[in-house]
Amino acid sequence: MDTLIELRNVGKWYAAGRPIVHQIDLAVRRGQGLAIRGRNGSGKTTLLKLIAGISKPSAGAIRRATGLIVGYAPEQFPRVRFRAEEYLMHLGCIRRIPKPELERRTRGLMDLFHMHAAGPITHFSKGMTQKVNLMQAVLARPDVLVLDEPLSGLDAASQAEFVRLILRFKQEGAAIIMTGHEPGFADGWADRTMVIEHGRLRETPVIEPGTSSGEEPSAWISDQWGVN
Amino acid sequence: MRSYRYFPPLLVFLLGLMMLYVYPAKQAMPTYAASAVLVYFISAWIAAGFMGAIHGAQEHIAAVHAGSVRMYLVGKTLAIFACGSLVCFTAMIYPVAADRFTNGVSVGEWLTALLAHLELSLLGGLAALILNRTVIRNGSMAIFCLLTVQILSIVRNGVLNEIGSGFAPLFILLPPVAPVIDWLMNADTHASGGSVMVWIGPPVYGAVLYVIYLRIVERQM
Repeated sequence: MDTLIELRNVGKWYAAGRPIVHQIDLAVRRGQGLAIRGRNGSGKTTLLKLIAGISKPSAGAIRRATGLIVGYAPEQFPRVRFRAEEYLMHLGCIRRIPKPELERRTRGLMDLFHMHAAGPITHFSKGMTQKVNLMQAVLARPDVLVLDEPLSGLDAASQAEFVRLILRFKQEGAAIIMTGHEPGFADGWADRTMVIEHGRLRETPVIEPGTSSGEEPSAWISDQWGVN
Repeated sequence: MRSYRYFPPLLVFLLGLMMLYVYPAKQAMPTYAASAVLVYFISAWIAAGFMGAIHGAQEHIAAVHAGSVRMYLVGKTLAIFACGSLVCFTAMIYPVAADRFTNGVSVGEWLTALLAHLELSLLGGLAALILNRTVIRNGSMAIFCLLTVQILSIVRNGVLNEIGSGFAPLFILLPPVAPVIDWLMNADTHASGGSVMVWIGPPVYGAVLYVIYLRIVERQM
């Protein structure tokens, strides 16, 4: 499998404080599902920000494949004064996606996530804001999808729907990196599970391996992502 | 992101501009000096509003979509300066369009005053980028520092006249606003163009300040 991102001996600390994460070695490959568990404050978000390119490492090196596209969904999605469609169009402009293509993708995502006739994001439930969070993360057809505790605060039905959507994108070839601490959050989609403790990352056995639900990718995703 | 935080500074700016030109002015340049000071504060206010309007998580999302944190920061800065430039042009065009200068204003004077407005807008905006909650965690302290720096940078020459020019090194890190204001106030006594340093100082100072800002923010991310 192609290596998309490789972290070598990576560390991160702020203003001479103790390291938030340190001695991180990790290779992320195409189509891989990587679940990272850890307690609050263990360094999960910092690690994801390093992988997404938001943070620069204080030590070590991060190598990314040429032309790599990363999608990132933060844990706390901001309740912005936009409708979902407007928000996606706005971010697509920042991505410099050509307008006709952007409109097509936005419409496709609105269909896939059943987000039609929704009002401003400020009025959304937690589940709906998390959907918009995922929609913006997949808007640019990322090679790597970085998701920071996306299941946090969702009820069981919303969690199941969210994982089903994640799995679809994974089947299309995107690598998924997702953090969480809910029991069984890695079930059904993760090929690797890791634990982060005191800023150190270690591999743990996969409880329920399996990258496929046996479900074929939707025609929309095949069309959008250009994968047959 | 969609925000109404720019309304208060723009409203104050328009009110300030109208008060400034309630009575027609004889001399264009000293009046433009006053409007440049107004632009200096308003640009800082607009920039501070921009900085506080965007949720941290939204900044991360936008940075990933922009391709890098630096691209995002540069884009945000350009948006701030676009607003600042709009304020500058309004301050420059209004008195001419409303015929508020009894002695008129030459093209050379107008362009020089425009440059002064743009430079002070740049300095005000950059001061607010550095002196905000991203860098100074306490919001009230950040506002206090910003206002102190802005006021000191304007009254620098007057203070030095009182306490003696030997104290000038104490003010060396302040934005070079005072020489520009001084030049506008005494435009008729200066040779055409005046000292080059008066006009080159602000963009050079601004460039250095901006590099420092980028370094600080990138390190904090």
